[in-house]
Amino acid sequence: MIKLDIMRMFFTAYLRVTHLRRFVLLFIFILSAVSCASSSTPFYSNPNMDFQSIRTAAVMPFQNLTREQLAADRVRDVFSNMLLSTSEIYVMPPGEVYRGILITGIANPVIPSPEEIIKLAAVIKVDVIITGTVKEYGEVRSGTSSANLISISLQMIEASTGKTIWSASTTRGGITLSDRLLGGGGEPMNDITEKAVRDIIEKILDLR
Amino acid sequence: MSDKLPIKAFFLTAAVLLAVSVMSCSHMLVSQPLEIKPPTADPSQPQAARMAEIRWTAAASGGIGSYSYDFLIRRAKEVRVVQSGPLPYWDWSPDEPGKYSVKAIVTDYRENTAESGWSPEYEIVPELMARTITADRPAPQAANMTGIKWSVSSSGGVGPHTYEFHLLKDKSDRVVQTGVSSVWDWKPDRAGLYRIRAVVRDTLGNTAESGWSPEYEIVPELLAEKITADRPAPQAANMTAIKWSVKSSGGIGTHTYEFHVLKGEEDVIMQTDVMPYWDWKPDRPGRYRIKAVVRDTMGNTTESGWSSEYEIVPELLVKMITADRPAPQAANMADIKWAVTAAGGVGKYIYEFHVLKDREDRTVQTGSSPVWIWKPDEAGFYKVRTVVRDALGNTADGKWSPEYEIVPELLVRGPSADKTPPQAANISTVRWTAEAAGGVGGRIYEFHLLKGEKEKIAQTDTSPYWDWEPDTTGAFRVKVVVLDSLGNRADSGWSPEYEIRKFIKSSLVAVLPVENLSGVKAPAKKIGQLIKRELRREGFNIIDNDVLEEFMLKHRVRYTGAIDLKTAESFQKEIGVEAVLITSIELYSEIYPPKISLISRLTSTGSRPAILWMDSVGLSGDDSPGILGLGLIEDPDKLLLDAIRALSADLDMDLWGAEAFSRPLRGIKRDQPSLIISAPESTERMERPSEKIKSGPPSLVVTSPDRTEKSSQGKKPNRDDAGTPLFGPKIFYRSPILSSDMKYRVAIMPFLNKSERKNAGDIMTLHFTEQLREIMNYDVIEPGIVRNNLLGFRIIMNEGISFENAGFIFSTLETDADLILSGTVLDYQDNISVAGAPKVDFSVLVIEKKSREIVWTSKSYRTGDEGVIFFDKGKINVAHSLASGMARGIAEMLLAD
Repeated sequence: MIKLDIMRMFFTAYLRVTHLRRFVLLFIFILSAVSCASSSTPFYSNPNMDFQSIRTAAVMPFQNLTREQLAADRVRDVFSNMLLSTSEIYVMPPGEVYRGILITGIANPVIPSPEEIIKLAAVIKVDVIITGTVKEYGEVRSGTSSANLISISLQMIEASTGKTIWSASTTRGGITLSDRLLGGGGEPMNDITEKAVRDIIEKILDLR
Repeated sequence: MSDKLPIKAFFLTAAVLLAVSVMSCSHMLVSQPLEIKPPTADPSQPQAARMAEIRWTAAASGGIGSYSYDFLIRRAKEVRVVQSGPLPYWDWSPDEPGKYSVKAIVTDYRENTAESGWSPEYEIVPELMARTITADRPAPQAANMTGIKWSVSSSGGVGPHTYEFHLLKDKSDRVVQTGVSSVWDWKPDRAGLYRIRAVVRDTLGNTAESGWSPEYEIVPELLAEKITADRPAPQAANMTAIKWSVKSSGGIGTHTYEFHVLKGEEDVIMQTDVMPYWDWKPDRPGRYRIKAVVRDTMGNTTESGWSSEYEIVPELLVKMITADRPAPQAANMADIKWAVTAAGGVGKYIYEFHVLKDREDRTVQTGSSPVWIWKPDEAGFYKVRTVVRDALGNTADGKWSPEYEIVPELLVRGPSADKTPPQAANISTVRWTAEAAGGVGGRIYEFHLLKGEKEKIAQTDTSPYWDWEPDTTGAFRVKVVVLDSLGNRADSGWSPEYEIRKFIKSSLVAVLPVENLSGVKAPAKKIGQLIKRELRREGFNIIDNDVLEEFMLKHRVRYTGAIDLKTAESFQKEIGVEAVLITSIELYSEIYPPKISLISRLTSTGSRPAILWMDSVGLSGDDSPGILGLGLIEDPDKLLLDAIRALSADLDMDLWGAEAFSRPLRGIKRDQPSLIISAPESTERMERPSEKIKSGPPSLVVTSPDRTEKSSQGKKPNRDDAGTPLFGPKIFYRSPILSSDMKYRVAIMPFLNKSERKNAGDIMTLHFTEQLREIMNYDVIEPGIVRNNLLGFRIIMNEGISFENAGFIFSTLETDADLILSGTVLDYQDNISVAGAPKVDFSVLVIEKKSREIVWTSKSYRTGDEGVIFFDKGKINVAHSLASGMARGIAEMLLAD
């Protein structure tokens, strides 16, 4: 939404200025468009779900599809803390979730079945279960340029039904034009992780 | 009747002369036969004997010459000649009553006789007689009091009688009644000596007198004056005798007095006596009237008349005296208010309070107040009563109260300590003993602790002992306030100053073998020896190594990174060690530039191990390169020695400063609170101290301004312009439950280590232990106790702490924690060479005991080169400093307002 507004403002300004200035503005637009390597996919939300009724959540261990061993733990850690810091949803501590997993005997906690989710939610008493997948995490290279990249997707599953009520994904970081032109290795991994998680959480909060 | 007699005599004489002349002429001529008529009486019958003279006249005619007459009288059959002679009449005075007849015989000169025949019977009645006059009442009598009937009887005479009563007084005779009545009803109105007689008269005028009666005395009238009381109204019932008296006079003989009381319409005779007074003892209140009836011996009565209304008020009564406090009470401790209620009587009361002790009755208060404030100053059994007087002087005696016990005064002797000062904080236990006597019931001992001007109640209990476990340094004074069951207080006064030092250098210290958390080989033994040497150099009393090894062998002490409760107790009991120094090597690298990080703490032994001191040091050889690299340190031993000396100097300064607290400090590492409330229950610790101040007694001072100051003077954290700690987490959640006004006892769990750095979890635990301990809001539990609990409960936290695990930890008395701090370390990197920067990444979770909820979560990520602006200026070379700062930031933000 913010990007659309910026583009609308840009074209309004573009139509009002002279040809030389229009060229300069076009260059700036292309440069900034190239630099924005991050992207986000449209997310799904169940229109029948009352997201405001969600009070408690359990964040399951994320599925790690990267080579970085701790990628899933790091993203989950950031996500849990950031979600709780909004004070909108109470997030169960990982130890409590782990206890629930042990009790319910979930074989693969990163992709629990609906039945397992219902059982788990009953044990640790949460409204929703959040699962996630870290698809990309770490440094990516393109020629001589390198930068950090993260790509994650999350699902929110209603505890009482085991149905997915919300899903979203985001990608942050990556090699930008400045990285290609000036080098530097991109933003720190922790920073883009926080940005990606913040992007996801904003989508959750928009529903409430 | 008497006037007719001369006229008859005249005519009779003329008739006689005429007859004589005729006869004298006739003999010469022819004489007439001699005749005589029956005699006639004058006056006619009847007449009373001895009362009348009756002339009988005979008329004769004929015959010759002069006549001679014989008068004959006949009574019944007796006839007798009563007169003979020439007189033709006979004057008769009859003496005896009866019926008489008279006849005359006439004889003339020639002796011719002629007889007249008997006259008709002439009746003579008995003589008129009056008998002695008599009164129906004997003398004397009182004037105006009675009627005296005088009566007289009469007989004889002719026809009905009339009576004439004469009264003689002082020679004055006056007729007081004339009539046919033979009775005179006399109502004498004046006193005096009287005589009375009666004159009786019949129809012929014959009179007879009774003669004067004997003197008859009339005394003055019986009179009674108005009745009077000797006391004016009103009077109280049952309280007094009112003498009613009456004066009487007159009458006859002695008087009797009849006192009447009128209440309403009821007239009651109260006394009949010859005494002219009556002692009235009214027993019921009301309005009365009194009168006296006086009676003399003759039965004459007179009355005094009713008195004016005389009011009798209710009896003056004293109700049971009561005390406002139940017995027993303590001497000199209480004011006992005795109150009495009086009713009845007249006017205002005067109350007289009496106290009886040992049979001695003392008047303790006299006055108009019905209340007596008693301040007993001597023990014993007392009784109290009241005497109440009204305005008339009526007195009512109250009953003695039940025995009221006064016990001896509650006294307390100053508290004495079983150990001479100075003693060490967090190590020594000083038993203060108070001796109290007197008072009522069980006693409560309040041990007050004073430091400076701040006072608090350290213990309130029935025990006269207080085992003081000082946890702060300073000069203290202790006093005992004893309260008995009635709330009487006795204050012992403040004891002399009692000095508590942080640590007594002479106390025995055990230096535990150094724990190596660096993950690489490090000269732990050498470091331990250096520490011992430096501490001995500073003057500490370090236990001999053999003794320590023997102890550790005996107790199988393998883990030297912390001390559990059991080992701590054994240390003190068995080898007299007062504190143990626990040192951990966080980082040791001899590769240039050498790096070393040490974390050290001094923990007290005994039953309540506490961290007395804790500090850490992280040095790198290139921390201060100086100009041309002159400041670079290449020798790891030198760096090690610098690190150890820094720690030992800090330990010495910290403890020395406390030991010599009266002298100015050279530096302060950790703020020591002046006084901190340490509530026995963890739940109470969660209360706001400010609320305690409001609700607690005024003397209770619970402040620790320096304690709530979240930055120590020794380590002021770097903050940004907004005041946020520079090393603070960017992502965090803080519950509003947490407050900077509270003090929390914190159990720090070993962090879950997901980093590649070995022991990173334990290292972060130590960093948080150190940093939280720096802030006085936190009372950090010795990690060894927490570790021992985790082992005891067999808690293995694979993915961090669960609420169930937290519940186990909260439930143990050993930890008695308010907060549990746990976390996960995701990265803990130290750059071993010149290149690169340390990196620390961890998250923290805090669970609160009461709510069993997460009250804090944070995600911290920092690198050592974040602050670099120019040529490595601002670079942090060791993760130790980074982690320490990040822990500090969380510790401060945890209780940020």
